[in-house]
Amino acid sequence: MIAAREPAELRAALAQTIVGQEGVIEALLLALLCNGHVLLEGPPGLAKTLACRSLAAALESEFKRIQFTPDLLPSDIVGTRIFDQRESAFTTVLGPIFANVVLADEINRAPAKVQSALLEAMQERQVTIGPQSFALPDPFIVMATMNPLDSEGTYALPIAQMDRFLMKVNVGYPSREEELRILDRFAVADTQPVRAIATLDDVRAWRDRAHAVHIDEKLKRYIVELVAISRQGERVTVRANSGATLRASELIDYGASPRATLALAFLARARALLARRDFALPDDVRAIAPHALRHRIGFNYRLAAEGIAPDAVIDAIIGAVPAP
Amino acid sequence: MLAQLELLGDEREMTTGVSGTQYRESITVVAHDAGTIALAPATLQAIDARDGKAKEWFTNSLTLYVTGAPSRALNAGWHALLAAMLAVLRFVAWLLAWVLGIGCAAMILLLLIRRRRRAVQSLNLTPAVPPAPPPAPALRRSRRQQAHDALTVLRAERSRPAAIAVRGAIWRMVGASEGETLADVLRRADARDATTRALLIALERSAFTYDADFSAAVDDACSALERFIESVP
Repeated sequence: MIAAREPAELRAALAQTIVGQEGVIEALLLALLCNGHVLLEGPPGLAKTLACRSLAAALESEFKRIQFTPDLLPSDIVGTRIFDQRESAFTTVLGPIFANVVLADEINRAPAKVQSALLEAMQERQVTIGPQSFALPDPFIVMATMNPLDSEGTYALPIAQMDRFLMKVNVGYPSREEELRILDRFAVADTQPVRAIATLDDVRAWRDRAHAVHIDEKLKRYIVELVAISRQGERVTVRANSGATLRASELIDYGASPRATLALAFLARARALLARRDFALPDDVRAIAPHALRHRIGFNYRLAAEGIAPDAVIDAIIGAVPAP
Repeated sequence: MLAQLELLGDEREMTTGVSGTQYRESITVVAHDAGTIALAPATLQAIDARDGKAKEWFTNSLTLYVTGAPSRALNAGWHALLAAMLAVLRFVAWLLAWVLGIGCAAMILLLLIRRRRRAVQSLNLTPAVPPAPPPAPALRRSRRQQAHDALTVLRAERSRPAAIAVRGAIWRMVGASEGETLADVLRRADARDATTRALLIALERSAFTYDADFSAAVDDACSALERFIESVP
């Protein structure tokens, strides 16, 4: 029986299966409420696939996983037309992208044209195969993963393509306590699968509610200021490993796009809904700002040369703008 | 004759004919002073060609009555005024120069004395001037009083600016500064008890909620303030 009518209940259900990784669970839910896509970056074995599979199961929706490899073709993702000898006609075989929750594993392992096919589908929410266009299911959410450890034989995603992801979440290792709980939970042979607690109609209704969440004028100005300061980082300072203090503008080639402004507003609304509020707070903006900005800011070589983590610059940018 | 008049021009004309020679002289004058000017008779002394004798001829006397703009008097008055003003200015400049000179000299003297005193102090000598008494401590209102003030403001003026001002005041009361978010403030030691947390959350709602919910949010904030006032000793 499906009983959940609040997105927060979905979060609680996912937390029963996935130990820790609150950031990933929240990112998946926010993307679901904003009708966006998530880029997850982290080493393997951190329950990224489990999180996506659990989300699909909790929503009684279809889940597909695509492993990106260097020999993957666009048709392997979107589908193709094959000749049916019996019917003497071409028939369309839809690719694995036709699912509600799609996990694009190691997206940077496939060449640019395959990445491009996926990202176009993400943006347009439809796929054209031969003469026919096919709408993707609704909701449609792509969770793409990138492994930061093996950079050999990878095709880096251009910033313009990354911009299409609503947010980028860095997935970290669990704490010792969380790892002990993982050990206990997966010690038994059969783990309890996530049961469906909401429907796709619920998701669509939640999206409408998220869209209606009030966002105050002061908060809008705060969002715009955050994005603007990422473009002119003169008054933001970052401390390098050498001890030198650098201006953020010396480390940034280009700041976040207006898509970041929209993403921040959408995500703040969705986060407010997750917290059972119908108005957004500065905390909502500040909590999601790193995820909305980190893949939209272009850093130059000096960042790596000085040994500064990109998130340190993002944190400095966020810290430089006083909350309303 | 023309002492009171200014001579502007003198034109002479001499015509010689059968009946004799005619001499005519015209003068142009201007009067600078109003009043009566008496011109004495003009005299001509010449040898009469008709009989070869020396003779003297006289004209009538002439009285001129000058009226209108007394330009010279005015000019004279104006000049006198200017001269007086210049004299005053000269005196003031002289006085200023003296005052500035004395002031500069006093300042230089003061600086020299201070430098000397500092040098003396650096030699661990007792200060010449006793230290100023510490400023009197500012009158600090208690948390209860501050909360009471906030409640009075919010009840009196149920508006968004008032709600924001009250939120700011309560945040300062718990030690938070402008630019922090609710999560930052809730982490502070002063905001860890349930009543304070509830108050901060209620005030955040009143500052950021939508218009239709604002009245309810203010009611909630007022209730939270009342509970806070009761809880504070």
